[in-house]
Amino acid sequence: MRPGDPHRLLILLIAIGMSACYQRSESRPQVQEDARDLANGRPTLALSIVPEQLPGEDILRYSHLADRLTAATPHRILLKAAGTSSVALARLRHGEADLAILGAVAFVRARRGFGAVGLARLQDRGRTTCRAAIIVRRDDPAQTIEDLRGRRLGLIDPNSTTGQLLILAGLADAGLTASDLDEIRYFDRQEPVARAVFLNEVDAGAIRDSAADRHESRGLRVLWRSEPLPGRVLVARPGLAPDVVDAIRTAVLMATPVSEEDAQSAGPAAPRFVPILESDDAAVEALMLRTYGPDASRKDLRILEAVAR
Amino acid sequence: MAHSSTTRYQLTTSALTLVVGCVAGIVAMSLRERAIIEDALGERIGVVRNLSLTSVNALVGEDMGLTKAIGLLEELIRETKERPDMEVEEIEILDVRGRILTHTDRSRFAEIEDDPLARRVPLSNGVSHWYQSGAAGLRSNLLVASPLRIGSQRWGGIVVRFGMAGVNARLTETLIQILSLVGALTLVNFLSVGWVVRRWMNPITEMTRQMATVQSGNIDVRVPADRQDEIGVLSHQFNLMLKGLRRARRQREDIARKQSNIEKLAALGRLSAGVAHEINNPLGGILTCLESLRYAEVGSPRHQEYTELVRSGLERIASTVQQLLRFARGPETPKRVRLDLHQVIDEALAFSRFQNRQNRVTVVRSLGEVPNVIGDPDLLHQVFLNLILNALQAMPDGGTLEVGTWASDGLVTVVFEDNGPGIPQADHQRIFDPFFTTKEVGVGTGLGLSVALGIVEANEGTIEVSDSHGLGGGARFSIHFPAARDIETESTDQKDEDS
Repeated sequence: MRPGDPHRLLILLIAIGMSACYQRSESRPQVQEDARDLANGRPTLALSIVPEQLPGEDILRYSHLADRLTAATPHRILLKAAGTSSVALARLRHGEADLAILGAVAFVRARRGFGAVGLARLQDRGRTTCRAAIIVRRDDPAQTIEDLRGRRLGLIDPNSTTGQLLILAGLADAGLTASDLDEIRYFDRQEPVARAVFLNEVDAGAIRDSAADRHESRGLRVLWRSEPLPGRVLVARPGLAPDVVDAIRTAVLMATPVSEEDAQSAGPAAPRFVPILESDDAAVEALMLRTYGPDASRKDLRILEAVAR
Repeated sequence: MAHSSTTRYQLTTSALTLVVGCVAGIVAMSLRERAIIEDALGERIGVVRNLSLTSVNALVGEDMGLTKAIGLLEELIRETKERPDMEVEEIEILDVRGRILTHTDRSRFAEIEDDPLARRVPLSNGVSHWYQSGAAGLRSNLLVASPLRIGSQRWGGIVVRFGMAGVNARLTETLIQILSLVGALTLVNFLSVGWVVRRWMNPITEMTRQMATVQSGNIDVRVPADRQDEIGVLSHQFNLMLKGLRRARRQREDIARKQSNIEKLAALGRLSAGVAHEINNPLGGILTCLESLRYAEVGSPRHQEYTELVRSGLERIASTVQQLLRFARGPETPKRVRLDLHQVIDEALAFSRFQNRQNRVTVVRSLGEVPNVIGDPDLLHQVFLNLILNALQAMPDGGTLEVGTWASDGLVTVVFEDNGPGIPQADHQRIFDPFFTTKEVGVGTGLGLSVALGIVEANEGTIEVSDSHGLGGGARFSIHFPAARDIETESTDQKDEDS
């Protein structure tokens, strides 16, 4: 060892010690670039959605849509979850929400009722239609929809397509009316309906058919499935600036996501949109007319707005 | 010297151990500190994540018209603050603009958060944390924050301030443990190194002591050389060196003995006329007595008188021969006995009596009261006789030889002073060198004074030459011996051993 080596060793040891001393871990909050507009007072638009399952999952799914719309407009799009279709409808009518994703029935009532503007139809998991299903307990004696006569039925919001219109239409096709049932109970969302069936609070429940399959492993079975009906629509409140409406429509109809990263993080379940066909609305209105009678697009709206309040 | 080296080595290694221990301690402390803090941080981040998730659900629930978020959040932060293990000091939930929605201090509701870091939280990406330092550089608070968001949708942020007293106590405890360990290591090092080094140094210390003994003149020593390492080799070499010194000393003693013998023979040669005279005189008397005995009646008084004269003459011859033999033979080994210098001086003067008369030299004895000295009487006899013969030789036409003794300051001094031609001043330094002589070639051996110097020094005395003080010209030889003390005599030692 050369004469200077012990000193170098000592210096090395001290340097290691000092560096170990000075390694302090902190991660201070940094403002994200995409969040600066919140602090800078960028004008916002509220987009009302009705979560189907866990609200957080749906919010995450629709947040990519909100980002895309934020990038396409001078506004920042804020999601505003609503407990039911009626709540979403009421917010849109009263200007608490600028945009909303509504089911077919709620859209018809919003358009007819207060002039809401349909922008695009949601293509959810590759489909632009939806179906309803009636679930019963696995040991329930009912084998057909006719067997529900005199039984208790759980429905969702009166403005729901899958939670009410399609079910009532199915009952009517089977020769049943609401008065033929022992009881109709309303629930906020599909999950409470399934829970009520499982707990024997009701004998049967109406839910979206895509959710019904998940309950078959939980002691429930699907008694009946409806025919498909056009699905949800992105709606703008009346009075929203036409250029904003156009920009939003254009943005949602563009299939290409904002960025590759956005596309990957959105995943295959990310919402896509297609143009609204008049024939689709006609089919919905026809079914509503058949089920609810004349003025169907309006009369329940008043009742259900009261429920929403 | 050995002790100080050991101590120095102890201090050096202990200091090195202390330095290395401190550096290792700093590293260990840093690692341990990081582990403790990360452990605490992980727990607290988990708490904040749960709070964040629950808060978002509450806020979304309120959006959906299912719950009243503020009430839920207040209950949530109250329960969290009551957790004793987390040291929660403060919780606040902000909206996206940094306005306080709820706070553990309810009076702060609706205030705008004044901490710029906390205000950033609602707009940040994920969980963040930072420290607030208190006294002595210790972290007094840990702040963990998280935005309340799902994807790009933000409802605000949550900031939780945790106390660090528990963490700091654990750090202090760790620091004390490390310092204790370093201190104990240093102490153990100091003691163990001292013990080991002393074991290593013992042979060197012993060798140093033996070297001091050798330096004082005693080379009859030996150091242990049973180790198999470098110290063993050194000890062995040291013993070999001592062995060589002892051999050289024996050779030198042999040479000195031979020189002494040569000088004795030379002295005998110079004494031969006197010896012959000492023998011849009694022989003449004996012959005359024997002649007269032929005519004396046996048993008559005359017969007895002559017989007594013959016996006396023979005894005188025997005494002369005995002295001669003793002088010629000398001692086998030098003795160290208490002796009376005057007796030795008188014997030497008696030995040279014939030469004195022959050279018409007057001997003046000025012997004072002196204590005994320790030495070998035969060797000192040789020295004195040599000096007397030298003086006689220097005064062939007669002169005065003064022999004096006195005692002063524990020394006994013997002086031989003549009034011959003296010794040149320039030769005073060389007069005791072997083979140096001022006499003509073949007259002297050149060894006399050299041998005398050797004998005097062997008897712990000194000898010096100077010009005569009182006799005018001539030379003066002064010999100084230490006065004998009782414990120094061989006879005394012998008695002690016998007893």
